[in-house]
Amino acid sequence: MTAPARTVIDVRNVGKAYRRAAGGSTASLRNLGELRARTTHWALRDISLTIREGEALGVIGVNGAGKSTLLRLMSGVTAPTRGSIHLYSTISGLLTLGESFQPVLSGEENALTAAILGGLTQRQARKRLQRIAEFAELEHVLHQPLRTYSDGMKLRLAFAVAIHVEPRVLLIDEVLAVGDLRFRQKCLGRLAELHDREAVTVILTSHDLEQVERLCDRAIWLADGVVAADGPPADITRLYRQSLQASIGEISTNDRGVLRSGDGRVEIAAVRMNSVDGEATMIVRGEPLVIEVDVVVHEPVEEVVFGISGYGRRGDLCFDLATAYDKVVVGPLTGEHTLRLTLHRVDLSPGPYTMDLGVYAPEFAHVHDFHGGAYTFEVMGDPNPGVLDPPRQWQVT
Amino acid sequence: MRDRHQHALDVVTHLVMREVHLRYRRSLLGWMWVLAQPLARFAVLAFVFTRVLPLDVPNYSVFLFSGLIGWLWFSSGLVSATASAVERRDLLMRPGIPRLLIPVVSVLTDATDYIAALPVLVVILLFSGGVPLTWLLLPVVMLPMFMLILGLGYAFCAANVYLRDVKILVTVATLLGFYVTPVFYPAEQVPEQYQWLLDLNPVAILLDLQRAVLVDGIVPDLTQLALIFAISGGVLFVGTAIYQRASRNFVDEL
Repeated sequence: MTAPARTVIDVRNVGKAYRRAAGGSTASLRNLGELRARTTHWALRDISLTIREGEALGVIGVNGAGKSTLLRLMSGVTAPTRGSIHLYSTISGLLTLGESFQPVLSGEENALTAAILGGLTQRQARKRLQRIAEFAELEHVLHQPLRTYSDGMKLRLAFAVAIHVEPRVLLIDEVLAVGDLRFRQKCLGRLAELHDREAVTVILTSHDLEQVERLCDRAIWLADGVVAADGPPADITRLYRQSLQASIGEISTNDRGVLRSGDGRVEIAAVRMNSVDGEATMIVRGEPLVIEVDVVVHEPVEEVVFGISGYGRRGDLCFDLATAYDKVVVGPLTGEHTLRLTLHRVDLSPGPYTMDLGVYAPEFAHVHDFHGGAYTFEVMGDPNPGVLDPPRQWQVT
Repeated sequence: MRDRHQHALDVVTHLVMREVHLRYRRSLLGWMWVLAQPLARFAVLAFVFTRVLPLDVPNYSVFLFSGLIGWLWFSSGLVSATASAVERRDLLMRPGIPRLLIPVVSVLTDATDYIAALPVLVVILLFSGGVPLTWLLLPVVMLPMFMLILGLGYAFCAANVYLRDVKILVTVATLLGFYVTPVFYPAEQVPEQYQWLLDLNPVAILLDLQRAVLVDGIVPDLTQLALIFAISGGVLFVGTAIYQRASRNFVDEL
């Protein structure tokens, strides 16, 4: 019954181009020739996103996908080349780690500066110093010069400050990748607390997909300067993991929002489950499931591999089947074909499942067509936390 | 809105104090070093132009010192403001810190040197006849100086991000500027045919005004004051516009 949360950041059709000198050298008169020969690189092509108050958004993607650029744009430290960004809240952030720190000054003096730069007044910053030091577990060295601190201690200090400046929207760029595991867990815990109790909006980029899954309630996958997928973290990280495994070249989504990739030589045209067209199929535990895949062969191929895998609600892999694993040779193919996979009985726990379907070149060398998270079925019954719901009998003797 | 201004003020105050603190904390004499640079220069120039090449200026030491501290604020403020964005990338990467503040911090940090040197001027004045009441008008003279340094600083700072040579050019220009501005010689001694050069130099006007209130005890001429406010205001306006436009993408260039 709650009203829709208000928008805090509105990103519309944003593109960001960087111009780089050919040699990558710094700008100076000596390199004027190179300056002219600058090439334009679009780090972000066309991004539209609405971030609502209280969301915890994880941004994932390979290096160079534009994650940091997106965070910089959302924090307002740089402007988009095209499109527009509207910020409806004050933004706090950890885009860089302790760059403002001065090695000769003490931890206390540095924390004070960081807190003031983070949005507190002098007086508020002083008052909060104690809590910051406690969280960072640095009370005993607070008066030592910062140059005596390890990188981990600096991170702790920087992070402790960032979460004690009463952020409304907190942007975190990768910095949680540093530091020891225990402190990282503490930070994540504190972030979750800020998010749950005080409805702080959190936006973080991370290579640690588990962090994203645990903390976030929404994830986007950036690939090649566009949002390749947007949705629940478990789904998005799963798709991302698969793409890393398959090292898929091109990624696009079709009109249904299904993640799709591949060279298209063999195209998946239609999928039926138990002879029913479409997406959500209900099945009864222990009953068979027949999956039929119609393919159109655009360029004749000698041999292909079909792969079908299913995931549970939490993104856990429940089955991962491929013709190649079962030594089934498919091909040569021309024209149209239908592949039929019969699972004799489905003993999965009741609940929703999603499936990925793929047609690959032999040895999974490359992808002809891959539909990620596109097909769902549901096993009827009361859900239970296990993966399997095996046929069984209890006996007491 | 009010909060935001309060915060901007806190940020500037804190950063200026921190810079000043940093500059002198590791040296043995600490604060005394603030005065070392103007005093050393003062000693050399005073020796040269009273003993070696005497300039016929009454009360030369007061004349020289007042001009020198004004010039030092101008030249060092301009150079540090020019370098500020490149050197304070960390501030540019902070969401919520207005980019306009970064050169302001530099100019104000150098203003503290100027202010710290004023007591020395008072001491010299006491030895040579007393401190005029017109000192009360000092803020009115410092303000256009601040505006001029900041305005030029904004423009050069923006240019320096795209072309790092700008800082070096500005440094060289201030070295030359020292000789074409009446810092250690009086404007009246410049031959008639070169007077137009001084008329084009706003720093010459500013030093003139400073000497009027700090040394001569003269209430500045209102037209001259209006003129310098117009010039400084214009420079600040243009400089701010250039900086505002360029600074949107500073982070990408650093």
